[in-house]
Amino acid sequence: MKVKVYAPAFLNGDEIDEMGNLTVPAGATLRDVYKKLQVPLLLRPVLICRVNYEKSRLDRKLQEGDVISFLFPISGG
Amino acid sequence: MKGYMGKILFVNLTSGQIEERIIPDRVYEMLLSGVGLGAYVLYNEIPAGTDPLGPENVLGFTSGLLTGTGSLMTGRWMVVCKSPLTGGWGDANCGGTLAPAIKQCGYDGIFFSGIAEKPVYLLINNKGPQLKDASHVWGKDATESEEILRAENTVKKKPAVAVIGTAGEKVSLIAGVCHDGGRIAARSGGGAVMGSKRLKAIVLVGSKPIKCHDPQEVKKISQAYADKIRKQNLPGIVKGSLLPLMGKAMTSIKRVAPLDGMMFALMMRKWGTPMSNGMAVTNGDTPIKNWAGSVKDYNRSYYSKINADYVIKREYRKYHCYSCVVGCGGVCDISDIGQGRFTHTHKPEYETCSVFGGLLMNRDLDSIFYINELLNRAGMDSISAGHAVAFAMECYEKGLLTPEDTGGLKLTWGNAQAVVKLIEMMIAREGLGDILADGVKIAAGKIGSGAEEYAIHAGGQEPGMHDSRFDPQMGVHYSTDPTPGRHTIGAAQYYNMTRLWEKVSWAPAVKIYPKDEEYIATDREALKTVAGACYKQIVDGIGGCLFAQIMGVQHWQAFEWLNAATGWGKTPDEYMLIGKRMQTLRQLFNVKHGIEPKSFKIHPRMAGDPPLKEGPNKGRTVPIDDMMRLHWKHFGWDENTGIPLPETIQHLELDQLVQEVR
Repeated sequence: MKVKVYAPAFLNGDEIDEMGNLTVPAGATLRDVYKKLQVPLLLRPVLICRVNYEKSRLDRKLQEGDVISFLFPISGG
Repeated sequence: MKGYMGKILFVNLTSGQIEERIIPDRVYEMLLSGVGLGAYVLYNEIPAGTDPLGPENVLGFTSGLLTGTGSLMTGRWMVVCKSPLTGGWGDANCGGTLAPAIKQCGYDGIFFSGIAEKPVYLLINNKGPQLKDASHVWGKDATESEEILRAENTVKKKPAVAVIGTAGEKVSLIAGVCHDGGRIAARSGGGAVMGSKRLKAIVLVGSKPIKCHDPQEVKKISQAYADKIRKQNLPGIVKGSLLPLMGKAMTSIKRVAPLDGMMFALMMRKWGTPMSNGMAVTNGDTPIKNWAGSVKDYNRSYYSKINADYVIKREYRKYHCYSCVVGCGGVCDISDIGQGRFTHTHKPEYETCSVFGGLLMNRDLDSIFYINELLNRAGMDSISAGHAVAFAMECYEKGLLTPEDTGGLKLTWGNAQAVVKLIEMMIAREGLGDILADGVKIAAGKIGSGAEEYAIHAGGQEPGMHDSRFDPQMGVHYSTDPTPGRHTIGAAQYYNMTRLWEKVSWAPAVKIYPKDEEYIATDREALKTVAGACYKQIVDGIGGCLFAQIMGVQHWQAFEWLNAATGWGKTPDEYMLIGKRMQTLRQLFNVKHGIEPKSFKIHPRMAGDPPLKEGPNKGRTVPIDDMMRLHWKHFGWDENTGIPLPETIQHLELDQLVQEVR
């Protein structure tokens, strides 16, 4: 199944296509996505991540079309 | 029933004649409303060669096509005019509550020509439009004037007021138009044009309904957007002190990824734009020391003093513009600053914090709060004013200005007291302040002796506080937009988050890419800047907010709202063609008025000439000539001159819409 992932540049986004989709097996969890993105273990507790714009635990089972987003720095104003 | 009112009000201040004019549906379908409607009216009405401060200039206040339809974050109003600062197209926009008020009075725009014999203001209420004497508020600051005019004209409903302060009255070319006790449509010198016409204010009390094609569909899209935004709250453990670290991390990654703009709302809801105060210093986005320094100069001992947490520590009330669900604004207590002269101020934006912070090497946040209120009341653009001070400081450092010239002020970097005094002199047009009150380009001409080397501007307008050496696309927009120097048109950061490629067939898709790619002039990069500029015209035609725009087309669904409100059933590609038409008409306005587009190129320092020797932008140079050329080429404008090509004008049907273009 495909989930949409907005991953910061320091993570491994090689498997994400131009529309932002990542293919994961059915029943995959947020933790599985973290593994694919190679999120460093040390960073996991401090990264702010949302699934469908809601706080989520790493063992959350993902559904087709779920949106996974990370907080990132951007300057504006 | 397409979201717009279908008519404008035209006021001749010389004769006092007030007339309503019907605008054909075709104009809206080809140029939307807002800045597009303004371009249509001003192109037709202002003769070539008109003095921007003379009676033939036309000043307009326009609302957005989607304003008041039930769509969200579409409540911005525009000031349009021939700019006295650049000599070409001028526009500025602002949030608050004026945009719906224009439409509730029955108009999409209110335009003024001529010059009144004595100070006046326009009142529109249930008796219709009328010019009234403004002598009793002439000479008063914008906030006080607004309070008086509002009190005088409140019957049942509180009026919406747009007003100039003393800077506009004194025709400072960096004066803007104020609203809602401290908001300002600051850029392009619109306040100077208003002052030259002796028009103190417009006061609007309307109650006409704003109808659209399918309000239920508009509401449905709004609901989905609002539901997402309301969930965006940062955990309390995320402190402002972390932001500069995040900025620093950006510089070590060397790659860029297109991220989810909705996450931007997390930070905007907590801090508003001051979230960037420290982060943009460490990542290289904030220009330092009149664009000649870096974070090595404005180091932690400086930027930590303007931390976003310190800004919101003074915030006692959140502020939302009309139809906004983010609420990035705020009102701050400043009663303990400046011997209690002011009780409160609108939360200073990032632009103000950084232009009076890093650009001047100033770490005194209290002085920034105080200056913010001084400028808001005077109605002077903080971006231009801060650059004028930075220019004076560098001239002082280089010996082009002496203590005799400055009235004894020691204009040394970081001297906050001197900055406050100089701003007061600029507002009062006293001494050196009088020279600086018309922006850096004119000031450099008056000072002479090579001072133009330190006058940082594009086409006469001082740039926003986003470094083109950090984001070269920003430099392209600074240089190619018909209103140069604007930071709100486009940038790589904006493009990557807006994700136009998800809906627009020709907008290049973005995956993770090396940061270095941004510094190479390519057709692909040019298509991004063209797409960004076209979409921004749509945003300014519907009354949209930049911060909503950069949350992404998958969230803030401007195309879908437009179809729901108008029933036009256009594709995103067709709307982007409208954006291209709007931008081309603005460019044609400049051509008509004798502007050479090449003359809008950014100051060499902004393109890394010479390159910085330290900091995140060390060694970065921007091939700005090549980038401008490719941007023009992909717009269908002459790639060497920037003048729209005849076939482009024909393709966009501008020759049919605007008589003179033929």
